[in-house]
Amino acid sequence: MLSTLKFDASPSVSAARLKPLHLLQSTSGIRAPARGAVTRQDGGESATFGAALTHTPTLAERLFEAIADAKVWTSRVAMHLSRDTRDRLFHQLDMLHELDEWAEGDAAVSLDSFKSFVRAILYHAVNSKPALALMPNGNILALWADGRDKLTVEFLPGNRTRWMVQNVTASGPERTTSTTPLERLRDVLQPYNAERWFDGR
Amino acid sequence: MVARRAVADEHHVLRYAPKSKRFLHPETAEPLGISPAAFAIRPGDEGGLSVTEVEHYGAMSADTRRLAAAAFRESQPSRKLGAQAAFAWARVSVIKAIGTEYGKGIRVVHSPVDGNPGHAEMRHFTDDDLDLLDFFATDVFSEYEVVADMGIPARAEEQ
Repeated sequence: MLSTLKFDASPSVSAARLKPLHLLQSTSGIRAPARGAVTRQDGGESATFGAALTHTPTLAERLFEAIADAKVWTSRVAMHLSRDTRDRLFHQLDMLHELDEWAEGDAAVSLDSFKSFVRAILYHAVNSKPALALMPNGNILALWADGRDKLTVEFLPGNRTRWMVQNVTASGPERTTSTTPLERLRDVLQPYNAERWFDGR
Repeated sequence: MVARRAVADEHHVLRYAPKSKRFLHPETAEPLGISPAAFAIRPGDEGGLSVTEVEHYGAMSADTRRLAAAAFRESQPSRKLGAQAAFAWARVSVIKAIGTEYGKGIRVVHSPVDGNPGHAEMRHFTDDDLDLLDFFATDVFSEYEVVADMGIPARAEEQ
């Protein structure tokens, strides 16, 4: 399954910089006992190499793991997504996590936020294409634009959203913000013509 | 707490926006403008939103923005900037006025750090209002330059 997720095809977090996934799985900061039982030639006495090994993941490993987690989870719901949508999301994830562009201290994508984002796509049958950014805590931030009108949604863990709509009227821009459960998003955006954001672009 | 000098209202401050804090085009993944994420509190923003005063390096110009950007780079542990990151700037008086409209008494104070003597903090700024973050990204810090286009000189040890 992993081989279908194109980890090594990413132009951002390239395979040359990152360890293979099977290495990452054993180097995620979890204490692992050293496997080193030794049998002495002179008497059969055995010893085990000393202390447990620890490994603090490098930045490249942390970014890789976050992207891999998001892609693996997406693969579980991929049957509900078009191939185009899945590929586009993966490409955007890769581009958001370019190692050479990464700012120290920022969190990689939050899996819970990413799940909220993908669930919104599925639940509301969103077939438009938002621009994406990452909040410093790893939450997905999505932008839909229609001229000077725009919808910005931060996808929060736990299927919640924080959103902001700007409508430009003859009297000037109107801006509205709120938080709402994910499943209510289309309903609460209806007064702002939600269909233009979610349907068809 | 040591009293800090307020940055003059007519001065400008730069805010660093890494690539991941810019919106990426849905098809090409090319960076678009600055996103509200660039104004959310980051781990380095303990005392307030971290910015760099341009006029600390001379009168506002492309040259002094370049100097300020290079100083910001020196203050980073990695001493690196992303080529597709951007520096957005705003006048302090506008920051304070918009903050007042949003019920925040923002103060911009000089707060030098290692490598960046022009470092400043936007105090009393909180990132709980997505509207404010968006307004800062699009209407307050409305001008920006991409790092790759700024001509920031390489660090001496990289040359």
